[in-house]
Formats: sequence, structure tokens, C-alpha cells
Amino acid sequence: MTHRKLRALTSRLAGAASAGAWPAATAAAFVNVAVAFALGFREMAILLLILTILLVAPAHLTRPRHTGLRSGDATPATADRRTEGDVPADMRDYTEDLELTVVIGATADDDQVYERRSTQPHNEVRQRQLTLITPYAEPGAGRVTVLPRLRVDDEEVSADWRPLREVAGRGAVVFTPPATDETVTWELSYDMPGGIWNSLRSTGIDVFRYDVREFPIGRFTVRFILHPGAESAFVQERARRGHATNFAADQDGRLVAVWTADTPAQRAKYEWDLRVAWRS
Amino acid sequence: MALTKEIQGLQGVLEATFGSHQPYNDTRGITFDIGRHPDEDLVEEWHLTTPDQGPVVYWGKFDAFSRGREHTLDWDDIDLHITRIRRAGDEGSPQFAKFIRLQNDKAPSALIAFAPPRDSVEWVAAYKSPGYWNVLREGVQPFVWNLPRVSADDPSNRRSPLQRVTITFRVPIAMGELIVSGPSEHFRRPVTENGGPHGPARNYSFCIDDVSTLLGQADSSTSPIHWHLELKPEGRPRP
Repeated sequence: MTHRKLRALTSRLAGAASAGAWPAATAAAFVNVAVAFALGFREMAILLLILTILLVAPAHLTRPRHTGLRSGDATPATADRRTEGDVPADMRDYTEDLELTVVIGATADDDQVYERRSTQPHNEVRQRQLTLITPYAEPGAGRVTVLPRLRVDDEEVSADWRPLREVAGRGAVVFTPPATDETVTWELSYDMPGGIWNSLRSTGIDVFRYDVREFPIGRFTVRFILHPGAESAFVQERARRGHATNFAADQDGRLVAVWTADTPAQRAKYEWDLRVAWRS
Repeated sequence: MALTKEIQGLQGVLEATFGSHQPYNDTRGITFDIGRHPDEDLVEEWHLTTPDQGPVVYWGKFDAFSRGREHTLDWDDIDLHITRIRRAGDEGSPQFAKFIRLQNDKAPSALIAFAPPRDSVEWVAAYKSPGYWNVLREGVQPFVWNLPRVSADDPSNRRSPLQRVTITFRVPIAMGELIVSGPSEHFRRPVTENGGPHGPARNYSFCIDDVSTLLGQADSSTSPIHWHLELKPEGRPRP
């Protein structure tokens, strides 16, 4: 409204100016133009003042919130989930193939995650900092503590989980002895108190986000497994990265789709759109 | 508290942006099931929504029928069910029409989001409108519908996103015959009989092939549809 009014005034002023430029304008017309000018300026001054208040005040009010969002402190009230990637280590120390298996269960208690990682050290790797898959917390929800189970294929190597207190789901896996030149294949598995896929179960629509910006990813695979209550399902990475198979039933009657990227985009955030039609 | 405020704000923004902007065309079939009791009054709307601008349609809108101020409806009253009709060839891919509740003062309204968006989406809204036909059960009830309009800043020359509509009043045979008067003769279709949700019923259908002809002048404030409905119990002669 204010904008439209201002534009009308501006065009009136422009009109007045061009009218004044006509040498043939009569004295009477000139007086009218002058009045229009005076009125226009006064109205415009008031409007500009209002506009300034409207534009500047909210900008000041909202600034701290924007900063908060950018630094990743604020938790948006959506059911999307995320991992924040890892604490920047020396990206040249290793590359890592990642095979995520997400099991979307019939209830929140049945949701499970398996992260199978093959770490090829270029230098000594004593620990890997990483973030587990967590649901976007609902505002006011208490922090949940997750203890992932750890298994290393090489029996000579042991691995321990050291949670980092500041961020939910973030921790470090410490290898004893440290990985030096042979590839270490290891697996984290966990479930999440309260579940991960509640939104997908209730609405049939969800977004799965995964951030690989802070570790050097090799082959990247995500296996989506749906409990037998799924009738049909669809998955696609938003940036059309990688390739997903169609959902097909396994021997247990669960729909499974596998998304793979052999040479995935580095330092990227991946987003998969999921749609599931549940049997009613 | 803060969350409630945020949701209200969000609903307001959705209402004012997507809710009032209709870059789609809609063909509708509306069936009113007139019940013997207030809680038997049902409505089923079939929609075929196609884009008016752009190649695909992303959303549509739902507005529950109510009689206005003296007939308020709540979300709990209407028990809305939205289903999207699957197209041939889409068997493996779930097709959704999800509704997002908007602010409402007298009757519920919702934004219907299509996942995935397509060049045409068929969807059905089934809901209850308890007491919608209370006046009819007692005597003569006006049926007034101020058809949906496009907003003032719509870039097209359309008056309404609605192009064609068929209105069917389904009356259980046991309740007698329905007399519809008002400027409706032109749209009348032959009466048919079939089974309704409340037993054998007669269907009184009115098909408006081109809604734009009904809308009149741009500043017209008259209701395009203003009919009168009356029930004549079986056995009594028609007036």
C-alpha cells in the first residue's frame, strides 16, 4: 500500500516536472503544478519517514536471529534431519568410503542406522570426528544421548566412541592402534530414542539431509530400507547427484532402494526427497 | 506459546501468498449428501486441477461449505479426507495431495500441496458439514455460492480459477423429492437414482459448463449462484 502510494506520488512529481518544462504552459497551470509540488513533497517526506521506520526497525530486530541461524545454533521446527559433517581434520590424512543404511521402522523404536566406513589413511589417523544422523529436534525437546555400537573388521584394531558434549550426536571414534597405511573398515550402528523417521511415518513425505563437507568422501552409498507397511516409495537426490535404484521388495517383504555415487561431489550437502505410500 | 504464534504467523503467510494466488484452473464435481440428521450432511468434491501459468501445478485450495455466520464449522467437525487419484503409469511412485490448514474464521480452508507437482492433478476432498441442511429439513433453504475469484493481481484475464462445475444434491428417496428453484433451469440434468451413503437416493445435478458466464461484471456483488431448495415428501403432488 505504502509502496503503491509512493510510486503514484513519484510519477505525479515526474509528470509535474515535464509539464513545467513545456514553455507553452500558462501561468495558471504553473501555479497548479507548484501546489502539487509542495503537497507532494510534504506527503513524500512523511511517507519516507514511515518507510524508514518500517524498513530499518525490523532489520534491527531480526538481525541477531539471522546470525544465530547462520552459525547453526537454531533448530528449525521441521522434522528434517541432518548431520553437520565432521570437525575439520586435515582433509589430506585419509579418504573414506561411506555406506549408510537407514532402516525406517514401523515404530520410532524400530528406526536403525548403520554407517559402514572404509578409511584409507594417507597419514596416521588416530581418531575420526563425526556426527550421527539425528532428527531435527522439536523445540523444547530434551537432548538425547546416543551410544553407537562400534565394530572394526580388523580384530587387531579397537575403536571407542567419545561423545562431544556440545552438539547432540557428535563424537569421535578413537582407533587403537592408530590407522597408518592399511584401510580400516568399521561400522557404527545405533538407534535414536524417539525415532528418526516420525514425519515420514505420519505424512509419507520427508527429506533426508547429509553433509559431507568436512571429510574427504570416496564412494558414497545410501541404502533406504522401509518396513513392510510400505506399499510404494520414491527417492531422489535433489541435485540429481548419484543414481538411485527403484524401490523393490527384499526377501523379508521390505522395500529397499540403493542410492550410489562412485565419485561423489566433494564438500557438499546431499538432500534426498522421500515419498512413501503406507498401506492403510 | 512461541510455537503457536509461529504457526499462526506461518498460516497467515501461506494464506496471503499461495492461498490468494491461483495459477491453476479447476474443474469440480461437488456432491452434497443431504442427511436425515445434521450429522449425516456430507460433501464430496472431486477436483481436476491444471496449471494456468507454467507447465505443472503445485497446489490447489480447499474451502469447506458452510452456511456462513450462523453455521460455524471447526476442523474437528469436518473430518477432512483428501485423496489424490493416481494416474496410469504412476504405480511405483507415491502421489500425494497434502493439506495445510490455513487460518479460518467461519469455515475451515486449506492449501492442498501436490507431491509431485504434475501437469494435471485429480484429487477428492471428502468431509462432513454437520447441520448444513438444517434449514432445508424444516422448509425452504437458499443455496448460495459466491464462486472463488482470482486475486486482483492475477496476470491472466480470468475471473475465477473455477472453469466448470457440476453440483449434485443427493437426497435419500425416503426424504422425498427435491424442488430446486431460482435461475438454475438452464444447468439442470436429468434426475438419476442410485445408492448413496444413506440408502437409495435421487441425484439432482446442475452442470455449469462455463463459470465465467455466471460471474457478470467485474465489480458485481451479486452471488452468481442463489437457488432455493425445498423437500416435498413422497406422495404429495408437485406444486
